[in-house]
Amino acid sequence: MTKEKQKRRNLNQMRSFTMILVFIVLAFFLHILTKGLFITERNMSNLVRQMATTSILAAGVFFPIVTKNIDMSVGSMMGLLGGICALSQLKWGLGAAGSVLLVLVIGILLGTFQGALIAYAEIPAFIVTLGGYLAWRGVLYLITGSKAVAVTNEVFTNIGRANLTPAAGWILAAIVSAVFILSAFYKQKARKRNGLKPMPQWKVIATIAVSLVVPFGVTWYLNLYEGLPFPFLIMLAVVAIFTLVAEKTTYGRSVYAIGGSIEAARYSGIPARRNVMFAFSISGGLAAVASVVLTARINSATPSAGVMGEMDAIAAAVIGGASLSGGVGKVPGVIIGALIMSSIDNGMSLMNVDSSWQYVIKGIVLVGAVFIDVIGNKKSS
Amino acid sequence: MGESREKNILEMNHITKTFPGVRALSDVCLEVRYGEVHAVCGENGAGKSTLIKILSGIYPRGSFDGELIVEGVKKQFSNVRDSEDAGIATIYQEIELIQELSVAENIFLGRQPNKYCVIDWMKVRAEAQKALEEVGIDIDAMTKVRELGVGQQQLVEIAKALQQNARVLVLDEPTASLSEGEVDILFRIVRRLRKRNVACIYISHRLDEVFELADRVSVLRDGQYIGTKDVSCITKDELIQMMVGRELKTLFPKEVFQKGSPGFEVRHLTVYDGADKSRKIVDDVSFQASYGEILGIAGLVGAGRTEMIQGLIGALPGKVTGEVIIDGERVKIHSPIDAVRYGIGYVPEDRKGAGAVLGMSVRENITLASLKKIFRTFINGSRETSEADKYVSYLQIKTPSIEQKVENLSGGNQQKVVIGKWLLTDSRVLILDEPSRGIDIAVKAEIYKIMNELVKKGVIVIMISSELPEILGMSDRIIVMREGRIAVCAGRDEMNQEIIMKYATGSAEEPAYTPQEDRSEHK
Repeated sequence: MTKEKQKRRNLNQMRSFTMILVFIVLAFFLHILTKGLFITERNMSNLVRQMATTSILAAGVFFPIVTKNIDMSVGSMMGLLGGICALSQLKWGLGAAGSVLLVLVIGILLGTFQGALIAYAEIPAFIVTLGGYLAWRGVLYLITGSKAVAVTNEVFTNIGRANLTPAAGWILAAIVSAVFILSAFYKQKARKRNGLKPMPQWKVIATIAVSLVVPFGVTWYLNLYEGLPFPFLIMLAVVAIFTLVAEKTTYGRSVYAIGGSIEAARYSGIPARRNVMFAFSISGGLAAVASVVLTARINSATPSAGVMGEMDAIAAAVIGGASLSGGVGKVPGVIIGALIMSSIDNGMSLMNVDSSWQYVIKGIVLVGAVFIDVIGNKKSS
Repeated sequence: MGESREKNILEMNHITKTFPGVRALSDVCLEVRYGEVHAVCGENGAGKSTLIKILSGIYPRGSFDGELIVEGVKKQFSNVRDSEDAGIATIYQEIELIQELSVAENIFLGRQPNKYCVIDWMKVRAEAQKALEEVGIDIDAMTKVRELGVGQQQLVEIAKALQQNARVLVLDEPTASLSEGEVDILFRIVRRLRKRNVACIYISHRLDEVFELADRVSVLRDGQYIGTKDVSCITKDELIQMMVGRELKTLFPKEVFQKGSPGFEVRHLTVYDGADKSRKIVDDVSFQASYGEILGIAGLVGAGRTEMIQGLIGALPGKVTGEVIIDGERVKIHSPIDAVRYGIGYVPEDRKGAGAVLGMSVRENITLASLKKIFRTFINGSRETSEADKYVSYLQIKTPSIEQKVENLSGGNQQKVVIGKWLLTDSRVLILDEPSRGIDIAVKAEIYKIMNELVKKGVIVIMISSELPEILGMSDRIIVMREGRIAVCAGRDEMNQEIIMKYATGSAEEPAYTPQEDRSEHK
């Protein structure tokens, strides 16, 4: 049994490891195919800006997916909320803060509404959110007259366009490193206190090394261009917060339990319906966050904003390790998933290939990633 | 018909099968004669299913060592079809019919007779009807399988096997989901097949059935072949001893405690069906359970026992009326959330589907029902670890660590994890639904000991069970349910298997199926 467990753990580690490898190989190819345009300071800065919306959407759909449901509506919802955001500034004279707050509230409400239909009216999630996918896009066309709405408020557009100054970037990197290292030590202490075997020395050292190299490395590289882009930081904040929600709160635990076995969760006194509904509230709320980042970045709300966004988000969550059969996955995985999906978009537009190919390649990468997931499940069972 | 009854129709010689890290079977031999009912017994994990999967071609040649000889000819099966062609039909515990197709279509699935390249439906229908008549069930071959009861479906599977001219019929726990009447029909069919010289390999946990039906019994233990005996030359105790490898005096370690106040009372509980709103699944049931005692609930499958419990904890969709009183206080239970809050723990029958979350760790399963109570919003990792640790050692759950996923534990240890979950919530009432189903005999005894411990600690324990020895061995008082009502309620001293069966079947006459057993051995 112990051996088997060890094997399974290795395999799980291997899966995230595989995805990082997939990204490295992909980046390598894109770099060659774009004749050296892909891995440059400028393009990497663009890439992390672009991947932010996909990551944030993916962190949202992660919760319905873990409850063994699905949310097909987030792309359209992001588009609609972006439209509302732009209109609220242009027509109703709301400021940056007011418009952001407004779309957050609306996003949460729309998500909760869909969630209620799924959890209480027991309409399958696929149907409800497919309806949302159609309807929200339609509403966007209606309110904007199918025209792009420009955004001029500079405070607002900064959300998507500004960068952290290099100095501030270094400070942030130092803080993040410190938090990671301290939490590693705290964990080690807690293990000792509970009489568990402490982590081996090399693992501690490796953890510290990674905690230093990754934040400082990323900051260094992005500082070479213009500094850490705001969308990237928002993405990291969203992922950090919702990692805590998933891993450290009773709500997050219940989400995994519901996805693992809704019957067992119900008998254990978990309000399964309510918590499933909340999973959709989260995904609606994060669609709002993503819409703000997107609208600010391209300083306008377009009728086609977020088209296929749900597909990228679901793909990113699944590549990141969330299983469509529920109960499994880690929030930070969405970053690597979004990175892969956005790299394909970004690299292929650098190559000036027809966007049709982006779809083909993305499709192949998605199916390939889930195939790895399936093999992993088979081997470990 | 010419073959001698002394000759072997099937020989499995020196079968060894290893999975990565585990030797499931080592050098196992099984010889089955023409026209005999040959029982295969062993605890869970003894290797019975592995042996059957080799015989039925699920594990193809090359994936194991050893040889298969059918009617004197050495055989190598590459797939299930090869095995069927050799005359071996296997009927698994889970029904493998296609629910939306008719009985006739199922019987001929994949083998439909052709006429001018189209299926000859008239022939299918006629032949299927004949096959059904042969096993003695009176249903129309055009009925959809979905419309049949589980028992009838199993009989259809047998009809299908016979239509395919099976010479060896393998039945894997066939009675697990059958009612007493259906068990009767099954036994009649098996006996008739025996007369026709068809051999039957009968795998069952229910030793009474083995003694009633089988000619010989082979025992496996931990993947080893222990021996084969004539059923007429062996007692039940000897058989159990072969299975567990030691004397088993402590199977039901019943302890009697001072009976306390009736802390749990149900009055006039009626549970309506969720779909057909006028139908009562449980009809006006009242009972009490006291501190210091175990209340056993017996009855046939479908008598409404599980529905009664699930109805009272608010887990069923239909309307529920009646009162629940805990420690003299009337409580309103609308959903399992309320039930958990009032201290009612429910260990469901379907351990893997509804008891534990298999993909979660032991730690996460143990704290699942107490999260809100202990942590409110944020989970404190070290507190959680220490709580889980406490119950792992208290219940002696065998797991490499509390981080192990529950799906990797044995059934008995999974059950202990589910019980641990309810201990952590400080349940006042613990309701166990078929607590020992599919659990090794050795671990069963541990579960019973835990039940005693709980009673001693002041938990009211209610146990639903279809295993009469368990009901009689562990309960202080016994309720027998029939058709949604309580047929009788009495102390254990006034009960025996015959009385329970009489009330459960509702017949004053001889019960349909009387296990030949002396209940004193379970005391």
